[in-house]
Amino acid sequence: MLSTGLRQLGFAWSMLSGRGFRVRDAMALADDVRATIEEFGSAGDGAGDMLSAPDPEVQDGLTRRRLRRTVRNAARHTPYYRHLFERIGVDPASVTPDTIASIPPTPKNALRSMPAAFVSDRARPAMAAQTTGTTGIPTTVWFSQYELDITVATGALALMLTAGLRSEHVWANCITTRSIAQYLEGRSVPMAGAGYVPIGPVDPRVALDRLATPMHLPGKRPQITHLNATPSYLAAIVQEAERDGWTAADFGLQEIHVGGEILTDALRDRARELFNVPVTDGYSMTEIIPVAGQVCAHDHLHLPVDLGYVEVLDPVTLEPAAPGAVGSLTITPFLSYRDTTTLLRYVTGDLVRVLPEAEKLGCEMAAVPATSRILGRVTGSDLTTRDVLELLQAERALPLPTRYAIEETGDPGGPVLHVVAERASRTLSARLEGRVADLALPLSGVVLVEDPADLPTPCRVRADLREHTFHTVPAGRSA
Amino acid sequence: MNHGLQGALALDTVVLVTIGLAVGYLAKVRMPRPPAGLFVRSDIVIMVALLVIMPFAYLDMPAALVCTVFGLTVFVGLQFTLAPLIGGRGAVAVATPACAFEIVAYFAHWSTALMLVNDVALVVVATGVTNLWVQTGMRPPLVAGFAAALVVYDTVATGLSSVTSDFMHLVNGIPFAPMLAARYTPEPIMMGLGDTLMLTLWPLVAIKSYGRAAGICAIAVDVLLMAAVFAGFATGAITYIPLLTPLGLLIVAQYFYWRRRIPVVVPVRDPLEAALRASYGEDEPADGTWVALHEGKVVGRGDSPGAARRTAREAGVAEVPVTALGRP
Ligand SMILES: [Zn+2]
Repeated sequence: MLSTGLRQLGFAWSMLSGRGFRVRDAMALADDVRATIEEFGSAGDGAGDMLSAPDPEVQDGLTRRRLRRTVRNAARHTPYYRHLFERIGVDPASVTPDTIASIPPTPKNALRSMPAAFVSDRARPAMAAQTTGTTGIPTTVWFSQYELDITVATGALALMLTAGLRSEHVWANCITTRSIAQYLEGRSVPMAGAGYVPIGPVDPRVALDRLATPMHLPGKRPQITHLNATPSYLAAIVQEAERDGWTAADFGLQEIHVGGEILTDALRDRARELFNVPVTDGYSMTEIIPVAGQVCAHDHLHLPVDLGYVEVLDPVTLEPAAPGAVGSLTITPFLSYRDTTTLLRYVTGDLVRVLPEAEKLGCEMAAVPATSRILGRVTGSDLTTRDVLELLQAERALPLPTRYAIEETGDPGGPVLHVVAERASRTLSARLEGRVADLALPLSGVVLVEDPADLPTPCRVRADLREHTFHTVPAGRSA
Repeated sequence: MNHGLQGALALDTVVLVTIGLAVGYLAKVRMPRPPAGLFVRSDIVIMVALLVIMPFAYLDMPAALVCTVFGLTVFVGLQFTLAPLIGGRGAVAVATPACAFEIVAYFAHWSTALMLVNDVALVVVATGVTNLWVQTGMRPPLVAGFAAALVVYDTVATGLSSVTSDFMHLVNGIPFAPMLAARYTPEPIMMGLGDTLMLTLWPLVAIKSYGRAAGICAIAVDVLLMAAVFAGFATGAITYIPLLTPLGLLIVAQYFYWRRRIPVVVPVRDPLEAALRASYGEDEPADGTWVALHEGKVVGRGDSPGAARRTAREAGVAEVPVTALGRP
């Protein structure tokens, strides 16, 4: 108790000072929390505060200090930023949250084109993570052993203290095994005492079969309790399960966690209906680890302030987006978590809407700043990815995962939406066009195609990162 | 009965009251726990180290400083013991005048009043400290290890050297003395706080880990030990005793007894056991197909474990069956 007390003080000190963590202590602390939970059924009083931010005034001072250390370190030791600061003639020591605009935002392409230029000269690169984005050119992010360990330890703490993961649970991952998230969860889930099943994005029928398979392991629930997947893969599972007549009673699921793509209300409701469990939506990205957001019951995306500096910038001018306006999430991960690939004002390209000034947060996470949920990308006429997916996923006749393409035709009514349907019928397209009109979406028409190859531009989703198995599952009964 | 024996009897009664209060407190009061914190072996090592070093340190410290250390300990002890019962502010409102009174009583030479208030304070503190240990998960093997270390310590410090008696003289009559007292010098009748804590701690741990019978047994052992010591005093056979020497040995003995009586039960997984005992008979599944088994009977079949599990559910089996591959 005394040693864990000291570790808790040390951990709190690192959180507050922005200095590095002692990896061994952070890991031992995760272990202490697990042992405490296993002994008493819950962590002690005030355990939730271990990971959360202190009051706003203290927080402002902390943010300044963390930002200053992060900027100074990048300007000194990271080749890209050393050259940048020389060129723009800004004193890195002068940068505060108020003057951060003096640093030009870092576009994705800069990191994509020369990842090594973002790796600190003092770093000890240990593991590369290639992003699995659907745009075609991967981005490489190097991590040190320190970064991996500290992210694993804080991840385990968050799983136990905020996600309620317990040793009786079994967590299955259907995200690609090449992702850093898979690696990190593969370590932090067992550190939290739970069981970990890396399934990967395999044939959805195989995944469903594994979710249903009884395990009967000592100290664990008899079936998988937690599923982590990307929304498009969840969509594929939902589709398969609906077709094949699976019901919630076939599984032992308690929670579904998704992230990495847009989760629509329509898909969330369908997944809930099918599995009868809550679906938790999160936001994270390899480049901005450890910054991660969570969607609350009021559909805000809450991003904590103590892991990185969060801005929302106008996608065109790169000036701070006004309240109510759409902007790109722009993140500066703090030095105490990221000492290898260092990024300042990294423009993620993921659009959110800044909440209107008048909007008071009345949700359970009101202490953490929030934006709208991720909107995706936006087309010329103010049509977001979320608008399109929401429209299409509410239509149950369309197959999941949803595939579509937007074609600009010069029509003043807006672009044309091409959608993959199983059977292109006049009634279906009329129904969709009716919904487009009801929602006043800026689209001039809907075209159904039966083959994804007929889309004017290819539509890629993360569920396409399919991994093969020799596991054979019989074709569904309906087939 | 002479005054000395009356005093000794009074102390024994106070100890029994402490045990009673501590047991009641354990049953009724949940103390606040630190976010992460379990009583582990390193805590015992630190406590033993402190226990060994502290009396020597106190003997070399000015009395005022010793008083301050004890005073803070008593104040904090009263505060955290009473806070769950009467709230944090209420606890401070009780602890502050109690501590202030001890100081006033000392300077006013109200030695009987000082002794009574300090005894009451120590009873409360002992109730809280033992509960804190037990409620943060101090386990029987740790208590037994602690008791074993104390056997060695008390035999040396009290039985074979003058450390304890020097210490008793040092704290005799000062405020916040860590001794239950029925009479101060020249003929002191006192019992160390350590003795009181261990007499109280083991019954609590025994109840929590081994159940009521073990708790009753632990209290009975305490009573018999105190009765034996009392008889020793009454017959004049002894004038002082390192109480932790016999008590520590008795705690270790009880630990080994209950550990054997109440072994750790590793639950068996009944569904698997039943499935392994089952012989399918005419239900022999075909090679390559899967069966779902519940209580040894085939309740579902399918081409995959998930499919077999699902047919079992469709057949109305609510429990999660065991799936197995058909035998070739
Ligand atoms: Zn919210």
